[in-house]
Amino acid sequence: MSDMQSTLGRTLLTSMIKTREKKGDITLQDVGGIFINMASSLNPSNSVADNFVHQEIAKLAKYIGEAKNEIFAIQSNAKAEDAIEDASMHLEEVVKATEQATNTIMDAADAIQTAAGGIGGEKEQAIMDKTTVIYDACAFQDITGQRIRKVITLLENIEDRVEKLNNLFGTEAPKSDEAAPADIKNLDPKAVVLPKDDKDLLNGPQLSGAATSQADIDRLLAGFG
Amino acid sequence: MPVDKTMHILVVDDYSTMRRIIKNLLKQLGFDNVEEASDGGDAFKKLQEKPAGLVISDWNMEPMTGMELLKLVRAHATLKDTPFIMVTAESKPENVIAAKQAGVSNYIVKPFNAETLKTKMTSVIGEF
Repeated sequence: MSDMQSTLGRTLLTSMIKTREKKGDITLQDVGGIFINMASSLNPSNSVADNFVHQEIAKLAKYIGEAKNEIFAIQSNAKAEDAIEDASMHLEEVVKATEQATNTIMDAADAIQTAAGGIGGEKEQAIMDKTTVIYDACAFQDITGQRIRKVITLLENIEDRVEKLNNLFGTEAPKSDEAAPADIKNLDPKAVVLPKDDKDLLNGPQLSGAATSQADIDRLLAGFG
Repeated sequence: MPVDKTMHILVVDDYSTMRRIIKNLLKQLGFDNVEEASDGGDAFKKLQEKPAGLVISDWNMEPMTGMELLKLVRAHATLKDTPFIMVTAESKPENVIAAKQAGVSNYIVKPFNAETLKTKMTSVIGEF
């Protein structure tokens, strides 16, 4: 190792130790800052080696800066962690809803089989056959449920990685500018400002806990007089 | 005046399963003269050819939404008074208000049952 490399290595190590002592932790953002300081302390006109190291450090600092910007972009475009969590919750609702519906269908098929029990002959057999087909078809819930849960796990893994990247880069998610949902019971329908484009009203089904009930919708409509 | 159960009803939804469910519920309520449309554009074309006594429409459809259909119906000289029930999973207050401002007759949030459909239909077209 050349003297210059040893000096650079020591400088880097000392700067990192100092930063860690000062902040209790060190992020990639801090490392990027140290590189920038080191690059600016080098004089590219001194030697070929100095110039090479200067360029490499500058490249590293640029790379860290770009990666950090990309993390910021992910957050500002989609509020990544919230969006992933939201998607997972929606998928979980899909699993629950199909499970409930499947149980209702199977309960009905069960009741039909019980009621048809005394008919006898070909008719009873035909009913039994068709209700069996219903039961068979209900197996879709188990399969789709398993597939959806796999996707949920994958999304959770991505969420975990994004969170780790955020911690590593020392970035913080920008605060959401979305207004808190209004309390529908005290809402003045005439005071609500609607988006200019109807397309902005299309959100799909709300999660069960947050969904507006039919009773609240009726109350809101009645508020128009 | 009692409701004429032979009235023409147009059910608009991009999901054939949902059209089938609503059609089935209407049949249970005694309404057999039911036609289906798969989006707002298809529905508007059918309405111009044959006006309906009631439109039951989903909101979120492609290429024409239920909201766009509602606005077209309300702006049309002869169709403007057609009773129009929005049946949708869009349940935010803003959606209800926007639909009301556009002239919706009533609003049903999915999932719903036969009783809710009957109640809303009664409030729109009268007792049956």
